[in-house]
Amino acid sequence: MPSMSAVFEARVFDGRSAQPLRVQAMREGDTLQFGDEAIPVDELRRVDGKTGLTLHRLDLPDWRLILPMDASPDFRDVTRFHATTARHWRWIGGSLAAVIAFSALLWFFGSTLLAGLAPLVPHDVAQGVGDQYAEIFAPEDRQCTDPAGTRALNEMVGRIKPQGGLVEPVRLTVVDNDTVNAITLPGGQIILFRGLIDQAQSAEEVAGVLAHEFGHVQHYHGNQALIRHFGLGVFLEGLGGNVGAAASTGLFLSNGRAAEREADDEAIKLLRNGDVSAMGVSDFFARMGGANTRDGKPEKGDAVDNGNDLAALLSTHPGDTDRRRRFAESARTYRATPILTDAEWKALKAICASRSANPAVGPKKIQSQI
Amino acid sequence: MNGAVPLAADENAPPTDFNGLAGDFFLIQLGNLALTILTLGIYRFWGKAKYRRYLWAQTSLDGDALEYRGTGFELFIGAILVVLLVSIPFGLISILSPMLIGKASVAIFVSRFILVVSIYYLVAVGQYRSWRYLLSRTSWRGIRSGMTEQGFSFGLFSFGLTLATIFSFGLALPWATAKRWNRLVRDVRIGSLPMSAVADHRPLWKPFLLAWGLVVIPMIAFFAWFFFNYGSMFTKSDANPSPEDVKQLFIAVGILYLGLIILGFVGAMLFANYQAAYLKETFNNTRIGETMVLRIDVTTWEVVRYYLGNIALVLFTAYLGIILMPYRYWAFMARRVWIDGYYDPSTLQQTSLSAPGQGDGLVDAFDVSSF
Repeated sequence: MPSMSAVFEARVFDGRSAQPLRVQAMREGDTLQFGDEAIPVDELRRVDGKTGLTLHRLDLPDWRLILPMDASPDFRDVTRFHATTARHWRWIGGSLAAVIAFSALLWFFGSTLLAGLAPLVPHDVAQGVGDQYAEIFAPEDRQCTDPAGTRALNEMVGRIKPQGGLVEPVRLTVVDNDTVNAITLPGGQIILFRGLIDQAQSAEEVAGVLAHEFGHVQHYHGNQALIRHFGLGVFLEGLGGNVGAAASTGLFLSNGRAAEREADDEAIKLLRNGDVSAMGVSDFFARMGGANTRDGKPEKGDAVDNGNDLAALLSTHPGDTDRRRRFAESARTYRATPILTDAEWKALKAICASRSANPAVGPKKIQSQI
Repeated sequence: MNGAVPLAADENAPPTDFNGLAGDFFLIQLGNLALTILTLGIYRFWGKAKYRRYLWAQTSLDGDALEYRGTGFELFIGAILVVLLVSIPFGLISILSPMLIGKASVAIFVSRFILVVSIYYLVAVGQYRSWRYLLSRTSWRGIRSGMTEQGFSFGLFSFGLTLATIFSFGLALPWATAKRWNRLVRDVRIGSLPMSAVADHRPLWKPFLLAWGLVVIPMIAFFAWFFFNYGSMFTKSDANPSPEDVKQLFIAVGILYLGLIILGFVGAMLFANYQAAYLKETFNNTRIGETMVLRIDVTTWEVVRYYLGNIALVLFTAYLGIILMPYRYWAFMARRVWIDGYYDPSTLQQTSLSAPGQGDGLVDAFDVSSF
């Protein structure tokens, strides 16, 4: 630094008033000199403007000294006010590392964490959320309540439900709707759409789908979806806008398929324990894999998927061949007995012959309690 | 060395100037976007502080630039506070209330109603607090600004105006917006100088009724026509719609959307006329201290071009152009607002108001801030 600079016309604002004081300012060694004052440049910060150079004081945040542009070279070594300092870089680096570590943790251990947390969600809370969806998918006037059909359904449930009982109380509802699907909502609500019963060619096919839904219940997949959505999702959305939301979804993207596989494994076990042939599901997948709507147009089965992957079943993604094979292989390892009599199967097929439009039937009665 | 010499008193009010370049701003925002994605959104706050600093620095009064003194950290803390104090409690209430007080009951309706009402209230509080935050972080020649209150009473006042607007089918809007502006400006302090506004609702009625009549009435007519022709389609309770029904449904929905887009577009253009009138009425009747008056030079056509530019910028850039919106808003205003009158610099003293400690998280959370 030159020991002594030229003298510049400058204006000082003392931070108490907008009244400028015109002064002669100059650089002398490591100080700024004006009037009777000398300020160490260490305590100054520089902001470069279009028409001049503004100096800030660290000890007086509202104080300003504005120099003409040609004074700039003499004050080049003054730290810029918004300079990205080493401290900033440490923060940026640290934050990035934390984000990467957090993402890696969720990526590798997210599903373990979810599986551990899911059973801790109180049943009432999960059911409360599930109810809100149930009202959409299974409005009361569309629930199927034919007594003979309901008896047949209960018979089926008796054969495939886990020996130790289900991990939470389950409500099973059949809905008069063409969708070829079944869903499990948080809080142990299983909704079976009539379209699925229509498309099934044997009671074993329906039983296999039901066993798969029981698998979702046993692994608390509905609760996992809840935690994913309300826990991390809300937090990241609150902080980061859309990017955060996308990130929270992306981090768990791999989880949906894993859940389906877990539910399949459970279903295979349940079917075997109940001596129910697993061939039914395999056949069902085989038929659904291609054209599966009345007019022959392929239709994705996850129309009710909600974007949250609320444990939807039967999405016709490419993994179906593999799923089919696993059920078929299991079916060959044991001898099965028919799950329903012909009469019971007919009754189940006709379960939607009478709906709960009758107001005398309350919502509690029309759902099979398991 | 010479002693300090005070400059002359009673100068002209400081002329405004804006020198920003959209290209510079775009580059800043591109960097912000990249870091925001890398940090799962957390950098957003620092990015916002950065672009605001740019906008302020490009805006000058009497040759000296405005300074934005807010930091990303403050905005971050503001957002965390909103998540903790608003988002999480509200989320829990809306999830838990059906379980605690039973479904389909009057209690549920009442609790939902209270939630919605408090959101309206909080948006108004947020608007005030956003002004408060931005003014407290804006300085010129070392002099800061501020608002005299916290915003909770303004929230009630503004909520009342919103209710009046809703219950009058929007007809009270000119009256409500003029009142709201006057009330908000009343609390502003530029340094030690108070601001005041006497915006009148009467000049707003003609452009407003023009927009209202030419949009709301055709919209009601359109809906009536639509439901007369297609309404049965949506109420038919057929569990097994035929493909022909589905096709008809698609056509109906298409007509509905087309109608709304056309009406919405015409409405936006007519609204520009009202918006220009609103800006002129509010700004031109706003004073700083005793001797300065704001002035805005704006025409309907300029507002129309601003709207069309925004739409084009978003549509033709696959939404990337949205990162330029804060610049467009700021530049639009900064190039048109002037200060008339004169002032004595010695009367512009430092404010005695305390500044808020954290950023404008509330408006940010409800996504109603312009820049």
